[in-house]
Amino acid sequence: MEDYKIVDLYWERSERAISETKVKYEKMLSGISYSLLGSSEDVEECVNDTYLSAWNQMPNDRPIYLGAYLSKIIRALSINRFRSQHRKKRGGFENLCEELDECIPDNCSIEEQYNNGRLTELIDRFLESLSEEKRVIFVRRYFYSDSVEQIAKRMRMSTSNVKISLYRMRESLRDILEKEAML
Amino acid sequence: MNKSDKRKNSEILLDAVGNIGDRFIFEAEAYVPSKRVSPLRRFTIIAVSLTLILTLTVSVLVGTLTRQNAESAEDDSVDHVQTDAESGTPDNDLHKPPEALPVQSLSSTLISMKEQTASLSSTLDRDTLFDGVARIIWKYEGEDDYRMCSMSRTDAASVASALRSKKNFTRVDATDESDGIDGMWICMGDGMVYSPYLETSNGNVGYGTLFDYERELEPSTEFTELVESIISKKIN
Repeated sequence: MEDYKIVDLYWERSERAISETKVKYEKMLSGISYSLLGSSEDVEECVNDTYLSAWNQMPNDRPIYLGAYLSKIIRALSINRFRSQHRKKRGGFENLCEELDECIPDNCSIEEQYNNGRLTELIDRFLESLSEEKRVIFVRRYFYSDSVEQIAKRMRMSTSNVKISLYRMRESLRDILEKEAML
Repeated sequence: MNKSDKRKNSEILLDAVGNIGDRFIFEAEAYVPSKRVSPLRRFTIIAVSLTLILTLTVSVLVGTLTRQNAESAEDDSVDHVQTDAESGTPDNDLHKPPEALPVQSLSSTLISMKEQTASLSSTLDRDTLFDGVARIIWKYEGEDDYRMCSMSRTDAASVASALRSKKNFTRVDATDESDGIDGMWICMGDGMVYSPYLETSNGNVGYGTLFDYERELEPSTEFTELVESIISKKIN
């Protein structure tokens, strides 16, 4: 079922909205959550919370890309769950944070830029500047939390090529954040 | 910046990535990588392509040279005959290339049958195109009536087959020059109307009407002979 039809079901307050969403997106949403949390129980809860969140936010919201809309919700829920449980076990979230450490210039606090929406704007512009292939690699890694091996398989590349691409993109993002911090 | 501050910043950055434009998220989900060609496969493709091009080029050159040699050999034989004639030896017709037989076009064939087909002249009734009888229909310049020749099922099938294949039909440039025929159509009796002077395409098929057209094709000799034989059977 097309996204706009499913969104219509949410707006009509039809229970079919949830079942259709499950059919189309459950696998994708579970994948995103599992990459961050690594626990099936936690994933199931996050997925169900995502459906509830979508139900509560629509109507009001009318997303064009339902998949992207739901992905953002489950990603945020999964990260919050991880933080609230203070996981000591090394998981996807930890690895991602360690990698992104490299992007943060010294003596730079980006909290203010995040709060005023500027940081996301910068990242959007950074993504626009990339080729489609590189952009997909970046988003698959840092939004979808795919492992390097998963990305390599999806992109039909070697893992070393993916790692090199990610490294170079982190360097570029660091340069951009540095220039921005000096303004 | 200490480690915990850096960690805090990287978490903020990760949160910010979560708010990127939907189009990037959609793109990353929908992306299908193009097939990567290995260097060996690429080399093989290039090598095979070059070989084919060389082979074609050599074939064309050899063909051209062979034709030139044949033409110069004919010239030599003509010269030889002429020399014989000068010395009093009679011409040998066998050495002369046969004269090309005149090919009658479909139009000229229909023109040549104008008098014989006078009995087939009739006004056109729309119902005629739908009465289940397949016909060859044509119109001479300057006449109001149409000539209509009904066909047997077997002949209609032969004509339909020839129209479908358009084998040996030749393309012509549209011209305002008149050849005495206003138009020629084949009607299958179900309303469908075709012309042997047009390419077979959806726009070139009529329904329930004899349409005007600009010629795109010259029907083949075989088709002309087929039409001539059908009309001859009718009038004899």
